[in-house]
Amino acid sequence: MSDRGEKARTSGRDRPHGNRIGVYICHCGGNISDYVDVERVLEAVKDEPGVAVAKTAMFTCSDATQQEMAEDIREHGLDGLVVASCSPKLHQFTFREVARRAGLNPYQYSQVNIREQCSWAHTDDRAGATDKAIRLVRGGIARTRSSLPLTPLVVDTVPRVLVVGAGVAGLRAALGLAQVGLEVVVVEREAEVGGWVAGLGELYPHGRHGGGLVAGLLDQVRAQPGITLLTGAELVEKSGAFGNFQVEIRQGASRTVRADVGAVIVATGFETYDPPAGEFGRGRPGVVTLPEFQRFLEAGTGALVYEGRPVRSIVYVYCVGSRQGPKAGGGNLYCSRYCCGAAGHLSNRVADRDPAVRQYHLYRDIRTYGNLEAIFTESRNRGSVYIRFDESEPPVVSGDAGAGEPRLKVRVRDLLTAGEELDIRADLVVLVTGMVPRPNEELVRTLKLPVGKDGLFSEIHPKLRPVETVVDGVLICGACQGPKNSSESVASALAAAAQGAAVLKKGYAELDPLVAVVDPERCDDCGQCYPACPFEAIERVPHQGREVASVRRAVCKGCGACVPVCPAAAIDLLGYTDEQIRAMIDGLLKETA
Amino acid sequence: MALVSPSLAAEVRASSDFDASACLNCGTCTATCPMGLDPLPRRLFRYVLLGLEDKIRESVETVFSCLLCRMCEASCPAEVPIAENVRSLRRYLNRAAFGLREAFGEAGEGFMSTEGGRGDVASDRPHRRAPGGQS
Repeated sequence: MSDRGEKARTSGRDRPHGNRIGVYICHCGGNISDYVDVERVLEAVKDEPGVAVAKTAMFTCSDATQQEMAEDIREHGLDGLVVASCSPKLHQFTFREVARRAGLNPYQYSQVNIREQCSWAHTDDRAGATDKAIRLVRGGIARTRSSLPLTPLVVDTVPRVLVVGAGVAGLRAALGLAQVGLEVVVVEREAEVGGWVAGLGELYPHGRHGGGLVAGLLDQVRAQPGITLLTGAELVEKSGAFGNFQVEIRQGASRTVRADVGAVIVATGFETYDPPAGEFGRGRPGVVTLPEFQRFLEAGTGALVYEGRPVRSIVYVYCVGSRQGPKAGGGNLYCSRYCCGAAGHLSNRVADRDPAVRQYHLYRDIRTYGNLEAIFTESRNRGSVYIRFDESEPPVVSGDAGAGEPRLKVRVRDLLTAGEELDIRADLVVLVTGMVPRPNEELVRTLKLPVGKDGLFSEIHPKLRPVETVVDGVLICGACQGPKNSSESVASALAAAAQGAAVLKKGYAELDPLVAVVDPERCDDCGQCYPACPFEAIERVPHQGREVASVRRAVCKGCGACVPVCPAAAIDLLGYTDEQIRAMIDGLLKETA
Repeated sequence: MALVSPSLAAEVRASSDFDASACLNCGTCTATCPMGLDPLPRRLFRYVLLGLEDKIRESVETVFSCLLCRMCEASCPAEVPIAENVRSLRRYLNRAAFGLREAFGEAGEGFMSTEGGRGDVASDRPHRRAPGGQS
């Protein structure tokens, strides 16, 4: 992990035979060339210092042009590559690979964005767009002139994973990891495993029994010698970096377990929304939450009797604790996804027990994606009436019923009957409560977990990197990152297991070399960079009889926060060195006429 | 403000072929109705599902103005038997609003359901279609 050698040299300018850079300007089939005169751009940049080859192409990302670039790199012995095309989000990886295939260091490639940030943004000004493209390409060439051939940091990884939380997600992730031969340590805060699902009966959409599901998983977990399950235990300390974390787990009052792990999977689940007294009649006899109603249904058979009274009529109020926008008085903004299906499922179980029970569903929107639509259809076909209300005029639950009548009354304006205001008598009012984040401050602090505005853990990208967090090696899955039903939780747990295993089974990991480096000769250990780093990547190390700051490369994310705070200008960000940035600015400012 | 009457809804459902539970409230039926009569048919069916008896009684004119042309049924994405539902409502109103069951018995029920006086009682009802009927 030593990077002393590279610290001394962050300039690529002292090349023995000057630069040999290849520049390729893309038409993007017209996306760029309709607004940017690419031939004029070519003329303006082909004689820039260091440019050995300059061309335009209809599609630089096409196989043919990639092939041509690779040939140019080999033929002309290029030491830098610039492609002016789309956003690096789209094709940076593509062209880095072209460089790699042709024997050029991929970090000596620069992508210049003349599509999203130029042609698309300036469709009303062709001359201006062309002018801007010239400046952007010159900036890219200037940056590439002093680029360094960087190599990814290779770290050895420990073939063991820590799973935090032993609900269905955590247990399934542990099993998945053990099945591919990794060791697993599972930490559960509670005395029992299984979380919410362990306490549930028949689950939608698969109809399996929650308690049985957990018992089955637990049997399989126990049969895996590679899994260590610690209940009544909490993660209290984490140090080290991706691939080799040291974790400390406290079990009970006295026992401390230490382990080296390569990755951490967080599967801490959710809490159910607990409406305060008064919200939709909460506190009145007969007003229950979704989990309370589920437990009530599972506790009996035959006709429904609640607190000694027969149940003839049930009103469900949806989106309680979910989608609470400013109109509804704040709270959670997100949709809890699982509750529409759960309430529909339970209404069908009520119809199984007693088809004569009248059921009214007061909803804002119904979210029954995929096969869950079948639950909704069955519910309607079996007599449930769905009544749609507006967020700004929520139902009012009161208790002023006459003698011998159901004890609750719900007043609601039904949008589907053109705004008719309805009074519905009910024996039970079920508040279809959503999922809320669990309080986990200690864990968030220990793992530096990214927490979103909604209080849930944040992945890097919900579709492209759905179980990874910005902390390398810390993965999330299940309902702790967002509301999910049990099937979805298990699916995301398997995704996290696959992601963790993909890295750890290799035995090593390659980390992006675009990290900060400290020049120990310049550093006088003033201490300002340590608190500037959001990842605690900077440590104090001895250097020639004194102490200096040093960046732990495996921890550094290359954010650059430490660079400007250094009064001695001892810190540089590889790939974005001060020298490169200054050269880029010069390139951008050079007159184009 | 209207009180939801579960007994009425149950009565209509149990005593007839009325079935609007599949209705999605999309409004295609109302849009295609050549009579353009509000509240036909979607709002009317809501009244029944919710058991809003007064609202149904208020709708006598429109219930009996329906041509039973089935334009709505042909367009309905949820395959609701709209015309049959309207017939059920006519039978219900004959009984509940006009007390015609007592006066005419079973024949009266059928008689009143052919509002417009086309005369062929059975022709309106596919499952009781009379030979030579002209629907």
